[in-house]
Amino acid sequence: MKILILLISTLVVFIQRIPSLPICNLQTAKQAIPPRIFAEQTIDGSSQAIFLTRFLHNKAGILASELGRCYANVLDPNFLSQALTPLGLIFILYFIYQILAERKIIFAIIFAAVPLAAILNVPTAPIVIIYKLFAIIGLTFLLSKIE
Amino acid sequence: MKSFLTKNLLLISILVLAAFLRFFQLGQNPPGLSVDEVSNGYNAYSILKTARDEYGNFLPLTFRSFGDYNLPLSVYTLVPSIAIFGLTEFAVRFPSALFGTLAVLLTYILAKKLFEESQNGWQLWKGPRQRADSVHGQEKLESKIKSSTDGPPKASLAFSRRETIDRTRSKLIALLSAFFLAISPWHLQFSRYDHEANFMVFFIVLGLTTFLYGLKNFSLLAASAVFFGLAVNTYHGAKIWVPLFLIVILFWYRKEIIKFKIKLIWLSLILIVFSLPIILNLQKSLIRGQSVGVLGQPNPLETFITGYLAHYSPNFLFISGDSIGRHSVPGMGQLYVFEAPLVILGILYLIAQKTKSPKFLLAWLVIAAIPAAAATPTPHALRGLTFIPVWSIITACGVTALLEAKFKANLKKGIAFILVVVAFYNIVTYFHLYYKHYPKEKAPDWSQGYKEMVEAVDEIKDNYGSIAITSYFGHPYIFTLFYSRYDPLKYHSQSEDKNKFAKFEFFSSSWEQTKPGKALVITPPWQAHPPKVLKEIYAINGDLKFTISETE
Repeated sequence: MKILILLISTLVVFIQRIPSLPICNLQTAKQAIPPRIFAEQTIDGSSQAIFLTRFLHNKAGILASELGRCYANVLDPNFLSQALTPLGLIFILYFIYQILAERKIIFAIIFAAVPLAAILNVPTAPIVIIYKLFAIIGLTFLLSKIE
Repeated sequence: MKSFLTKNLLLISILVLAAFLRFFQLGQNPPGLSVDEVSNGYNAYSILKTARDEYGNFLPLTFRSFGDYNLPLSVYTLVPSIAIFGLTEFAVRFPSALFGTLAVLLTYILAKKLFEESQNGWQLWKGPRQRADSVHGQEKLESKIKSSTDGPPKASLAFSRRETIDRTRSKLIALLSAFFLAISPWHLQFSRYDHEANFMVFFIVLGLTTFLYGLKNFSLLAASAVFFGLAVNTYHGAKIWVPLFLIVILFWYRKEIIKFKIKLIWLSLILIVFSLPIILNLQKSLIRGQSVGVLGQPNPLETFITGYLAHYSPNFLFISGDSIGRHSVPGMGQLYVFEAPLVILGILYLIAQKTKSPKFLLAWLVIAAIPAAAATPTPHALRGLTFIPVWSIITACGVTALLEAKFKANLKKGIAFILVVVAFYNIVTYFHLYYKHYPKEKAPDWSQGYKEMVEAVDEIKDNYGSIAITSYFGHPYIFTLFYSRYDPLKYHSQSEDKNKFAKFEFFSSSWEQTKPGKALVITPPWQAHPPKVLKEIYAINGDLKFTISETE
């Protein structure tokens, strides 16, 4: 029975079409820096101490925030739900719980590193396939807990 | 008294901080009152002066306002504030800031109660072998306590030591929860303007806190029913949220509640009485829900699921926040970035708990997005305000998990140092964005400029036979009533026609003079106006907002 559930779920998760991610990568992040710095420094005005303006609105901070946006896009529950089906989303959540609870550091590092691929302009398909695998592993974790 | 202050110094400091962050420049930032604030404010002013709303209805249970029939509590809450401070921006926002500050105190009390029997969560971070050791160790400790043959003093010592640890942990979580709520960008945003959802959060937390304490005291349980009843009357979203929340609470604590047997009828009666304003005005109460609900969408179920998941999006929570100008500060998420790892740790910490109260927070976390997902657009910070206390408590749990984790001391210090640095940068950036950028970027969302325009018109209005004001920026009549403090008694008889009252006329695309004598014309910047310009009103960002001119 467990094998049947595993097979059907694997099939459902794997045949789900791969959605596209918003275009967001290192290049777009770099492109966003000059207009954002200009806009933010203009709002601050010339009367504000230059140290404060630079401290709060600098290239590193804006790049980090833009890259954070790209990173978060991959972990968006709606994206994962479209890529893995809502059922797959539940499996991957269980997978995350298990790898953290059981201290499976390698899996945790891979899971956290996968969205970085999107930043480096890797196509969406391989990223999604890795997550599909994680979802299936999550399902096996779940099935192994059921008596 | 001195001992009380010393014992609670941290809590008092957090409350002072919460109050400062909520009351500082309350009348000036956000820059101008939103149309809903003005409407609530004028209706409260009208109640204060005449015991009737702007339409002349005697102490109504729903406020017609702009036809959306708002629930009554938020308007009535403003009445004492306006009586004390007058019809000003500060008076309109005062109750919200006050309730927001009190919500911080309540979150402290709630978290303390929820975690009074908590365990430490660090077992979660050990491998299977160590975990077995830990469980074995715990069992050993418990058996030692139970079957101690050395007589009662030693056993009671072990018990009291464990109680002390529990108390210390629950106090730590409670203090951290209060602190995170005090500085929460999400909560600050809604505590600094008058919106009924903020009152709902206050009454929900108050209701839940009294409920938890009331499990051993029926009168507190009855008080809890009253507070939940009040919460229903605060905000449209509460009509979904409060029943849903109550169902989950009743399910979670069914064993404790069932003990009250027949007395439960009283609780049901209290809730029914407080639901009467909605039941008696059911059709009107549903108007708002019908206009924004998912049932009106082409694919309601899909829209609901997408909307539900959107509230857990890392982009919404930590990077971009709500896109609606009044709901968040551009460039900030609903929570701070530094909270992201703490939230993950906190959730794991809660899962590791063995008692039911801390785990209740997980149920809360799962259902909190439901009322927000039942309407569009999503994600929606305002309708998702039901999340607020739970995120703060989870973040606090994350800190506690980190403190209790058995890492190498240096690694722990390193992680803590990085988190503190990122937190400092996040918090400083948020306040800079809120006080420096937000007023300039989002002034149009707050109808900024109306006050200056109405005050300018008020000074010279006696010189003119008619005053024509553009309705381009929406609902000019209510801003004119509010900022000119127009006598509500005189207005009641003119309230049905929103295009004019007294000598004021409101026009959309063009205005034609119908009354004899000189007229004052107030136009948006793009519209033609009489050649004699008396004054120009600029928004805080430097944009021209109104041109005041007069006819020959």
